[in-house]
Amino acid sequence: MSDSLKQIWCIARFDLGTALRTKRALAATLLYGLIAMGTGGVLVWLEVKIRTYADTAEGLVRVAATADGWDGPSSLEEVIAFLLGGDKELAAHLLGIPLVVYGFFWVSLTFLPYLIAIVSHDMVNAELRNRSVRFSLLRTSRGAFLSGKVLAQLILLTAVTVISNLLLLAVAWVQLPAFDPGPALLYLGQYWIYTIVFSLCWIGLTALVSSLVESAGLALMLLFVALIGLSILSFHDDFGLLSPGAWKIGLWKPGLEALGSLAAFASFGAVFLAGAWGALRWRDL
Amino acid sequence: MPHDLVLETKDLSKHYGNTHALDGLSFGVARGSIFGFLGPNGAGKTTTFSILCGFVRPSGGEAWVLGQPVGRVRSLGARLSALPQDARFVPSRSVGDSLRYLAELGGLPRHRIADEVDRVLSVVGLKDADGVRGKALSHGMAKRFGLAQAFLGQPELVLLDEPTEGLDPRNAEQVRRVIRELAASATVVVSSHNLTEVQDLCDHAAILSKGKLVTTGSMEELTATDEQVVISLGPGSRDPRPALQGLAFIEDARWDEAGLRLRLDLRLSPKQSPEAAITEALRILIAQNATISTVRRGQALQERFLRVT
Repeated sequence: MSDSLKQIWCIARFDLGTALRTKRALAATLLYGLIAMGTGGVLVWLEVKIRTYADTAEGLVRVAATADGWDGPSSLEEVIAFLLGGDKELAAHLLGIPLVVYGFFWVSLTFLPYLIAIVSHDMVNAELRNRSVRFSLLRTSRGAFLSGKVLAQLILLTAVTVISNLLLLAVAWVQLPAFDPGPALLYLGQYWIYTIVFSLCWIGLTALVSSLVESAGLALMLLFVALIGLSILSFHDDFGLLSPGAWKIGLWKPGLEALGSLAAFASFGAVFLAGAWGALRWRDL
Repeated sequence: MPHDLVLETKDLSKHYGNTHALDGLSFGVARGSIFGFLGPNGAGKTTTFSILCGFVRPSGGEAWVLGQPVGRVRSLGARLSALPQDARFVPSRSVGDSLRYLAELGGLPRHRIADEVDRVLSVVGLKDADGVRGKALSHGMAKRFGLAQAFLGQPELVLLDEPTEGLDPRNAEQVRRVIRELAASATVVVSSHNLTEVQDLCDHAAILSKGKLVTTGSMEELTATDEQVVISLGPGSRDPRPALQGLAFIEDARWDEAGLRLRLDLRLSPKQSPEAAITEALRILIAQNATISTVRRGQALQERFLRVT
């Protein structure tokens, strides 16, 4: 391993140790774990209801379809497609996945950016404020310092999401009599990889703000403003694609579209991280 | 950069808006010396250290540290070490953890880290404080732990910003002893307000004022002058000034009753040598049964400092 990689790993380990000692890692795991279990509970209940009434619902849909003047959906798949804005291909794809899995994925895509902001908003500026960064930067480069910090957050998030996904799987397995953990595990694994790439983008944004602003409170406030602003921007007809939020829908789709969205999130992450590196490189410490 | 210089600056400047923290600073530090960096508050000492360590970007000019331009000081690795002013350890971690982390980050082999941390903690007198968290450190302890991290490994150049500030006399003396020991293998640059300490510790110094270099040189050069002599008398001595009243070359004589020191300001004619003048003054004092403890030509660094800043 090169000296720079050793230093990045050394910084990441120290940061992870700090996260464990300050109970921050525990808080993040609890928060996300509770979201997973809560979401899992609701989704399991929904799935039970859907299975119970599926035939009835489809029957009603068929009856409605035969009625005069009916131009609405004629199957459960079309109902889902209707809810997804008419995307039949996506609806068909999702019908093959347990609701508890893609439901939790939706929750993750919605709340993870905020969780990352809360947990990581002071990843850099905490050391800028008390100037302990000077002790580290006597021995390593600013790039390695930032990389170590980001790696620590990524490892922390990976651990938190793995634990939460396993909790979700356990809830579904215990509560759903017909639940088959094999395929669910595969889909969870796939969505978990998507979640990590998606999170890299938001960790990059958090690193950028944390490198620009010394005050932790101000950094958190700016991050929330940026997250809400980017969400609003994603609905814009002309500039929507400049927001990571616009690429979220692609993560639900099979094949190349999902890969395109993953590439977009990775690119946003790279741009944000380059910005963070530039901010840290050019600032006086 | 000449080979015997481990540190050199040329027209170094740093501006914060309209404030000139450094204004064309040029000086050099020779290898193997203990170099004092002096100046009143706001003179630019900490800014200079911060630039040399790569924490702050200069607005203009150039600087080299161990042959590297300041933009590349990180390539020096553990060859450069420093005690930065105001830097604190991570509050939630023990200082032992922080020191082990910094030792590893500095490239020390893992098998040597535990012993090295023990060594530097002993050096600063805090061997039993490994587990104290950063947030629980008093100002004095934080300073000593800061010094401990600066002493990790075997640096070639050590920059110490106010190393004894806030320490009690015993700890300050311990730190001075460590700096002297360190100077056997490294060049040490010390910034300090304590002029007596710098005069005692350093062999060379630079004096800054308002971001500019006022003077630099060896301690002998900085304190040497033919215009002043300080005579320390033995116990029980009384004010000797009446006996010296007849000497025309004495412009002013001041007597320190507590320290039993007589300071003479001389005004010599071109034909008059300082040695002859001092001998004549001493002859009169001895004739008055005064006991002479020491005679020192030149001024104290403090007087030079007050005169030029």
